[in-house]
Amino acid sequence: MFEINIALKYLVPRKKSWSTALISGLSVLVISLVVWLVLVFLSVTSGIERNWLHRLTSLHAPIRLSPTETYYHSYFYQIDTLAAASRYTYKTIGEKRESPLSDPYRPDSDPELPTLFPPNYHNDPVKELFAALTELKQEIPDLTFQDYEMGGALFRLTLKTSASLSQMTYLLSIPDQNPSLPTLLETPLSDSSLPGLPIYLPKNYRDNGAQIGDRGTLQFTAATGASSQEQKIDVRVAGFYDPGVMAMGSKCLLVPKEVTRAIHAVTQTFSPDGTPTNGIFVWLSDIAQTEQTSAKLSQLLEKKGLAPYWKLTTYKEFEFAKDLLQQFQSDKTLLLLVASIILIVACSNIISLLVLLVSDKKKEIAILQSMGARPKSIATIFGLCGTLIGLLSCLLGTSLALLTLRHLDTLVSLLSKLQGRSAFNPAFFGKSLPNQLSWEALLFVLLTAPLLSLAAGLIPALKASRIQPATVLRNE
Amino acid sequence: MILTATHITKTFTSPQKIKLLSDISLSLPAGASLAITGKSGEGKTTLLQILGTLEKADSGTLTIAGQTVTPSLAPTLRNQHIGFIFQSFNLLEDFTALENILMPLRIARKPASPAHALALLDAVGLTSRAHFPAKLLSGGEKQRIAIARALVTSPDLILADEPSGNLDHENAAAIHDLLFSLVRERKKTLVLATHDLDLAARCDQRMILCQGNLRNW
Repeated sequence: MFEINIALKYLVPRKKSWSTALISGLSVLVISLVVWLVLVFLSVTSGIERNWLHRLTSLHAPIRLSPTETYYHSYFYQIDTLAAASRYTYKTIGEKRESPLSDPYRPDSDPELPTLFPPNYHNDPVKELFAALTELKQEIPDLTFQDYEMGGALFRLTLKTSASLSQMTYLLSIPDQNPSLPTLLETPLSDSSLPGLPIYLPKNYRDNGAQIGDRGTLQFTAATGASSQEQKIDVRVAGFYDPGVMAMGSKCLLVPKEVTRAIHAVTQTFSPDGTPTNGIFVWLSDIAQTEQTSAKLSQLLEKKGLAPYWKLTTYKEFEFAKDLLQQFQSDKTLLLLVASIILIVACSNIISLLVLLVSDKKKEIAILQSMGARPKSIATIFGLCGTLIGLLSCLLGTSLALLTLRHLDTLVSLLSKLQGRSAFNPAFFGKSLPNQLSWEALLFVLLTAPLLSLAAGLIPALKASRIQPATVLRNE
Repeated sequence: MILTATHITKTFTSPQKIKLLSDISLSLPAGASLAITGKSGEGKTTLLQILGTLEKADSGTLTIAGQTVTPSLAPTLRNQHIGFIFQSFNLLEDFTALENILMPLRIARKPASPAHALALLDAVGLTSRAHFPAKLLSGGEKQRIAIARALVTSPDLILADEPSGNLDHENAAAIHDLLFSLVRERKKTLVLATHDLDLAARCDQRMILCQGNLRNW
């Protein structure tokens, strides 16, 4: 294509046309700087968002299944209160799953069912749900799932210094199937041969003097028909874990299931952040697959007639994460908008550059036309000039961004030194800023910068294509 | 006929109204040569530009190689059937001699064989200058390259506007010899505008442009 050949020739700086070369260099520099800035900023913010997302979903799973009102009003949930085999108490999902009996009710020995008692017209929704999840796991091998229980209790801890801590806490059954658990726990899961049930405290307790081996109690109230009775469970600090960035994380204790089941049997607990107190966590190795897996699971639930019993929620809808994630999305949209505006301003430089180039090359345009070049070809030459400037700037800006991201820690420490304090609070941003190039950001600049440059080249290209060769050549 | 112009008129309105060409008709068969002479400002260059489809006539029709010229067809006709030689050479200064010669072929998106261009360079005696940027060549060399470029697509019609106007006598004579030998050897139709009566005398036909009219002399 002769147009590329000519466009490349025009873009090479020449002594004779130093003003064009200067403006051309400035345009490339400005666009490169914008590309660099956009790439570094978007990459770091994307990384921060990823880290926060990981920390938000590390304790909770990215997909959660929770029982609906239909489940709680169903025969299978209600029947336990009328069955001797269930000790006349409601069961948690875990207990229902482990129970060998789907229907514990014995008409000959158990009390008669009330008139308006829900009918038994469906198979066991808990066992069927786990069967469906097992079926899905065959298709998605890295999928893991586990039921969880949450409760609330007053935690009293006696420290080795003889001082004591007392706090209302939330209790979460230890999610031992959670693939992230080993990275969250600062001490591995311990055996239960020592006295007291092993519990894991958020690491902020350690800052307040708690140590492994400290003993304490979990106290909760069991409501009976006539009065309420306080119950205690002896516990032992088996380790600490990183609760991530959840609002209630600093008050959430990881406890064995026996504890949460004991609480569930006698009292109802409400989670302050809207998390259902009983449900199923579904983990994936890649959080990006959440929507796809959720859709598959939803289809499976519909197919098996389980959809009315289970509410499927992804991390984007979690009460404790929703606002933060929406804020991240808004920030990203705003940032992309600002980046687009800056890119438009930077690329508009190309218009003046190319107008100057067209004036400079008027005679050559006329010569090319005398040799048979069509106006379309002439316009293409200058359109290409704009696009090539955009591409070159993208290349320079991307290289600069990669270099910056590679040495981000050094730059941050230099910035911290200059400021005399940490430039980025490790509590929010982690030990170091994320330095992986965001492909999303790269795609954004690779598409917008050359396209905007091409658009900027259109006016000069149109001007060039309208040059009358006879007029130019006659005046030479 | 390679070139047929019928009732061509051209009037310039700015800065003042001047009727430069009025009712000009001419036709040239393949291999013919025509010299157009006339005083400066009589419209020789304008006529050549109209014949070369660079300028649109106000009225009249133009047929080149059997095809009636229309605005959309003009670039193709210029590329495939017309070769221009200008007084001020009009080479692409930043390109080499070879690249300049090959440019019409590249514009036509035809295979631009350097061998063909080198053969033309040899014909104009400038093989050694093939890779010289045009801006480093002398006036005589530039015009030789321009002649080679005009012939590279093997056009039917060569339009030369004062081809030796910017050259010294010696170089001008050499360019005239080269132009006529190549045009005749390749049986091209030549139309040239010149003040040089000796050069005009070498053409088969001679016409003078005076007050917008073209007549034999």
